[in-house]
Amino acid sequence: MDRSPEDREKNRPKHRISAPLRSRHALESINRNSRPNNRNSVVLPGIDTGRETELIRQGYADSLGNNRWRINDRVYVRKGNERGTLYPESGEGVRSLSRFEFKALVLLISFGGYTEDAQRQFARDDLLTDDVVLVAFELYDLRSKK
Amino acid sequence: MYGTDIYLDQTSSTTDLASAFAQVLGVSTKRVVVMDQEDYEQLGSTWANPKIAMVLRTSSLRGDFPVALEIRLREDTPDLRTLLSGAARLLGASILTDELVVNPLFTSDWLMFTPDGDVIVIEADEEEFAADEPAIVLTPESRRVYEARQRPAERLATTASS
Repeated sequence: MDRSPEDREKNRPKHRISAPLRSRHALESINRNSRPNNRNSVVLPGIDTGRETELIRQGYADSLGNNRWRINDRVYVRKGNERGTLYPESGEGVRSLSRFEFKALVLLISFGGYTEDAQRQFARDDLLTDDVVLVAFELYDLRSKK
Repeated sequence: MYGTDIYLDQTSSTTDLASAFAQVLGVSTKRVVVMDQEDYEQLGSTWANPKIAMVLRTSSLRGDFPVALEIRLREDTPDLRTLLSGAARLLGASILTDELVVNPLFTSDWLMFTPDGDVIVIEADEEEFAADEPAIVLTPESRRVYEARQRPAERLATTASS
């Protein structure tokens, strides 16, 4: 990455930052016990958020203001806590799942895919609509191919 | 139709849960059904009955808020603030939600409704919530806030047992 020291200084975070929690955001870390939040920022396999955090720390990302940086076509936002935790917000390979999309994904993981048992559960749950399951299935598929 | 997850700091009987939420909703207790989170069969048959106004699906987790409730309502945009505030008061429990926090991306932030009517943003350890066996564990600062808002009788009981 080619960037002048002045540019790096301009884009460098002014406060401490720490990498996104892998167990929360990495698609391959989601398991049958995972619990959803209101929004769930999920990063696809192969994306090294730890490395990107280091690049942001060194000033190689573009500072967007408002505690946001863009690196490798992904935007991270810093939480104003002591650790300055970064959250993958948007961009290439970052998906934002709703609560029930996340739950559908957990069900698919629990049942080992879109099995007959999984379909039976989906059919009994009006909040797990076809659209919701489709989003979850796409991610399940990507997770399985990792 | 609406659904979300909430977390309580203490257990209540199935009857008390149904009664409290029914009272807040202004419906008969019979119209609120409590069931186990894993019981999909009951979910399907219960929700098919249009007279049922609310379903509460229970499960448990480790930590300071060990009771998980998935709540489901017929209406699309319920007044969650009023619902949780009323339920916290009637159940004598503090209730967490992550639906009403300022930035939904910050998954360590929760809004806590206390039995006394306070509504406070608190922070839980994100790593614990994302663990293989999830838990809601308050950060030291939030724990101080939480403990300061326990009712005097509960504070005395806590002191006596420690």
